[in-house]
Amino acid sequence: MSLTGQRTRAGGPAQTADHTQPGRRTRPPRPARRADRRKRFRRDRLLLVLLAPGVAYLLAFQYLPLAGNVIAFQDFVPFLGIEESAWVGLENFRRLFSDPAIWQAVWNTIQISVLQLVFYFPAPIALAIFLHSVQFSWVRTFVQSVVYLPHFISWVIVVALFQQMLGATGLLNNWLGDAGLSTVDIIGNPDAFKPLVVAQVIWKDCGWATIIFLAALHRVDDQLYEASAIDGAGWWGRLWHVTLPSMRPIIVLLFILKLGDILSVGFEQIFLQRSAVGPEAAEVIDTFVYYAGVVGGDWGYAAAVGLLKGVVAAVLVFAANRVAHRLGEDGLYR
Amino acid sequence: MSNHLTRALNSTVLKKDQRPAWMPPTSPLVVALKAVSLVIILLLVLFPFLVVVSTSLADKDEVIDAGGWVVWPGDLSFEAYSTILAGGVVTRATLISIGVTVIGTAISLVVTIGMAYALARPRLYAGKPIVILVLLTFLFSPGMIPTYLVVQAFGLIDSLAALIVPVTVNAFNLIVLRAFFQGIPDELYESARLDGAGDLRILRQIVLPLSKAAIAVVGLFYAVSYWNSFFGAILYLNDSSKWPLQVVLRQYVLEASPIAGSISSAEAMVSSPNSIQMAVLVLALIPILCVYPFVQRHFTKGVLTGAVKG
Amino acid sequence: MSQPSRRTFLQFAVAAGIGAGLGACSTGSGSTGNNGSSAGPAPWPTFKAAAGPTPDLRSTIEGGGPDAFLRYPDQIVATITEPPGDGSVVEALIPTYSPPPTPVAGNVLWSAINAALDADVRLNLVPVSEYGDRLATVTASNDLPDTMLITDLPRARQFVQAKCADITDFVSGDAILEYPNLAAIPRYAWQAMGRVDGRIYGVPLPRGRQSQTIHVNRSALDAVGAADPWTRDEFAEAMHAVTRDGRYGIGIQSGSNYVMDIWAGGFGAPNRWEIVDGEFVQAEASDAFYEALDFVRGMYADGLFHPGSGSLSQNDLMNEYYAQNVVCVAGNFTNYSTGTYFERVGDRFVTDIAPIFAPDYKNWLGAGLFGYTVFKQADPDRIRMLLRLCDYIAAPYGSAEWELLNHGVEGEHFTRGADGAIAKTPLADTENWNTVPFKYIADSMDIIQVPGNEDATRRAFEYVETVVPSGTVNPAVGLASDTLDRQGAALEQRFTDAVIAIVTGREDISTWADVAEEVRRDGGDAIAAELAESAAEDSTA
Repeated sequence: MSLTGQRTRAGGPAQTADHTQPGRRTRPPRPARRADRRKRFRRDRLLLVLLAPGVAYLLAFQYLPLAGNVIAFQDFVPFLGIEESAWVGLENFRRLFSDPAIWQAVWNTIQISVLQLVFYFPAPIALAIFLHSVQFSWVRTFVQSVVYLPHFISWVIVVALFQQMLGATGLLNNWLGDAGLSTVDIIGNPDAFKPLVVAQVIWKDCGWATIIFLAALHRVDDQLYEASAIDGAGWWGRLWHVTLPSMRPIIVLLFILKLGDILSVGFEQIFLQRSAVGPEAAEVIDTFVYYAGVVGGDWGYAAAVGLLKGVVAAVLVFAANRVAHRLGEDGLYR
Repeated sequence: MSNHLTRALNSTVLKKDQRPAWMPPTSPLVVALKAVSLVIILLLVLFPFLVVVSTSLADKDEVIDAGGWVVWPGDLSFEAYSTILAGGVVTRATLISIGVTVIGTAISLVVTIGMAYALARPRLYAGKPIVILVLLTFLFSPGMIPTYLVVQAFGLIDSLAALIVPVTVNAFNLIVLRAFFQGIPDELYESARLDGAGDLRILRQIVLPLSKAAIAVVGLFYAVSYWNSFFGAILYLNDSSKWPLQVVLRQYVLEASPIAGSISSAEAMVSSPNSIQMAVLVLALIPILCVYPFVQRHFTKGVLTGAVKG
Repeated sequence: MSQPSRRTFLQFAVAAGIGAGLGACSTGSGSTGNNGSSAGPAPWPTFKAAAGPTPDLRSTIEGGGPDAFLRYPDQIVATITEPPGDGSVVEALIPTYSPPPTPVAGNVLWSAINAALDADVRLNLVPVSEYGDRLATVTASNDLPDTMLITDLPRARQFVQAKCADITDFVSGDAILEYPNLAAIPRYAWQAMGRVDGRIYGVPLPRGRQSQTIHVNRSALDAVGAADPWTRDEFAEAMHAVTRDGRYGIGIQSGSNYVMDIWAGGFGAPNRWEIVDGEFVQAEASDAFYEALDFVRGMYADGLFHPGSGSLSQNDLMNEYYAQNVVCVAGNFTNYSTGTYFERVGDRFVTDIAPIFAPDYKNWLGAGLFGYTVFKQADPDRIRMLLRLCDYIAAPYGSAEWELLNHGVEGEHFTRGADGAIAKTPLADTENWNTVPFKYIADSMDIIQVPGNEDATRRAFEYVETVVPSGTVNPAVGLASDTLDRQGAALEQRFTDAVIAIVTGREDISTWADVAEEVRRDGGDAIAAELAESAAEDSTA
């Protein structure tokens, strides 16, 4: 990809892949296409100037260091650098898959990710719609300003706060105990770990994620509501036929991007709570790699896992994008 | 553009009789349900915050006797805050952070808006390869060491520019902004073009005014990421007098973090009192709390309605 | 840390916790690239005690232990006559635990130290939790600072050999006597750092060899008539007696292996490794370790552990200790011996330390090393100058140099009372040895002094004098194993996970043997073989 990008940046002869053009089925003969490209290049040159700084940034600070991922095939030693570190072929990948514990980690990661997709992903959408329906603007502003605050608390403190609230000697259990009720075992309980983790994410980030949906909601065409109301639609009807369809592009987009994150479920959050419940419940890919590669300075191994995760994410994202097209959505790109 | 409209929409709040004509009257039951839900949501968030603020304001001994966390302080004490603010280190770091955040957000927004606008145009020359180029940076991340070497090669080590330049464009923000730009109806572009408007004028007169909310959101995302960033500063800055606020504040809480390296186990160290840790948290949150209303101001309802109509 | 995503956390370099030396964190291929130093390992630096003030309680521990001072010495002597520097800029990469200092220009302490050193020392401070990341990037950049503290750097051995100055000729044998304060660093610290191909590359920052200890609420223990000192059974008895009414015997912080190091030591298990017929054998496979595990499991089953054990952060656990909800917590000895948390306890109760267990006090000793400083390759004169700087900074407790580095300038940072005691000024709140931590460039041996508390000072001194002579050393300290470097953390974590599962009752203790066997198979054997090889290579005549 970077080659294409460099050519673009240099503004050199256009060699963009043909499938970038919609309507390729009726594509004109070669010379005509070239002429078309030249024409488009001339037409778009101002836009390309707008793109230039960003593309230059991407090439310098993303793609140049991304090339460093070749250390996935090395026994990389920082002070030796890429030139002098030993090449080991697929050894890092072999080591990863020869450890049976990785599958437990993958399974836990996927479970937590799916729980997040089901419970965490819709939460901010619902909250945004709910807040949007509140009529008093000062209430909306106040509530929104409050609920996005937890995003800014570090996981160390979020975990400590949950401990203080729900832990064995936390406020909830103290209160239950004082009331003569039976206490609940949430923190440090392997069975409760995954729901707990998802609940923490919702508490911390739901309000923050709401902002983007609120921005989308504020673009809904009011005439549509009006028309819908005239058609006799109730609150539910308006939600289903106006609100959600208007938000759909952004929801689809964020959902696809979220799929790209499916193999990462928040290292610090899990790491802080992993030991109490044990690896069966809480080992995820990132914590696994942390112990197996990162602590020992095995950069090649960590890069190998990073590459694999990237490939899986890319496959999921591009596949999801196709599915979105089938469903008539633009998705990330067309 | 849509003054009458804004007025009409603003009037949807407050009094019932100012509700838009199409909206049926809300039943008291629904209003009550909504109010209860709001209160529950607020309590879920605010109660832990109450503990945070109370602990930061409580007397040292009270915090210790309570096991580290105070739900409601007996006597107010600002000692934790004055400890942190003593010596001028936090003040200097705050100024650095504000500078980095303001300049960084401005640069990031300009570059991102330019990219997002260009990439939102259909049939852009080389458009799709560039979108994929952007997307891949979202999926694959460069390692810490190669990035450091690039930053070093650009001569940015020990420079505050190292906190901005290597993170100028965020793929997520770019993709989101582009999606919002794409949401602007094509007819608007077409008619502007018919009026003889060039790309820049369309950007200035149509896209930007219609995307205030999205730009505010993306600007907020950038600002928050600059405000919160610490890792770049730790890697790239040699001189601790250039540390931004988050690095400095973290040092007050650091010892509480179980991730701290094992070398800490060799040292005589006790965590800062919880009152100080929570005061740090509150100090870091205050600017965030102040910023949001400014962002939300741009969430004008139904801007597109007005645009298409007018 | 709001967006951990894919960026940093995979790169946290947290240590395996096995030791900070070159040996424990370096590759085994010691014999590669050996150019010319084939005449056997260079002799360790000659030890010569420093010329500090006479301690009130002098350590009798063979090989060196911390002395104790009941009060601040009234006679402050200078150990160095000439300023050691040459006026040049010295970049030093070190970790910090504190908020940053005011910049050197406006910093009275930092300026005074630089003036005394006759050097423009620029401290490149790195928050301690990211120090490993920073070290990795700096070593990759080929733009090294003049000095850097190495601690928990994977493959440190290869690195220092390739990129750092070989200081053997300046410090080996009697050569060290040119730097009298460095000559006072105990031999064990040099050994824990280790040699690379028989050569010396660093200056160790020494620490006492006592490792983690149990901090106890003595008032609560006295109230139930607990024995002091206690045997294993008396300890268990005391824990039963104090556990009631929402108060618990012991608390364990999140991520800990229920401090099996302490219990296994107390039950007489070998310190991580045992050499049996020239072979290295893991401590976890020993019967004593199993017994200790069973003992802890039993205490957990009896409800003697605070219910937040394993979940509470160290911070929250200590808060439970201060609030007297838990009677015993594991922690650093130095927190007691320097009185760091006494203020927090106040007069709520008497805090104390309790050796595990009477009458034998078997326990695992630490490496006695915080880390070591290495130097960028330079001409011999510059290396000598840097060593002189280290020599100055490593001046002993009670010397004029130590006073400047630790307490600052009289009249600015402290005033001296009639009895010679130090009273800090407000300026010392922001300018002190934590914010301007020259102590991580070089350091003298620890001393014991709980300020204003002679009883606690004596108590700490007696503790060390009791547990160090009876302690067991880790035979792997100072040795090299590539597999230990790479996989040590993962294998260690397998043990930790298994210990937690067994103690908390999720797994039966009968599974322990399988875990030990698996770890042995998946890397333990390789580590053992490499350690044995390294030991053979490094054995001095």
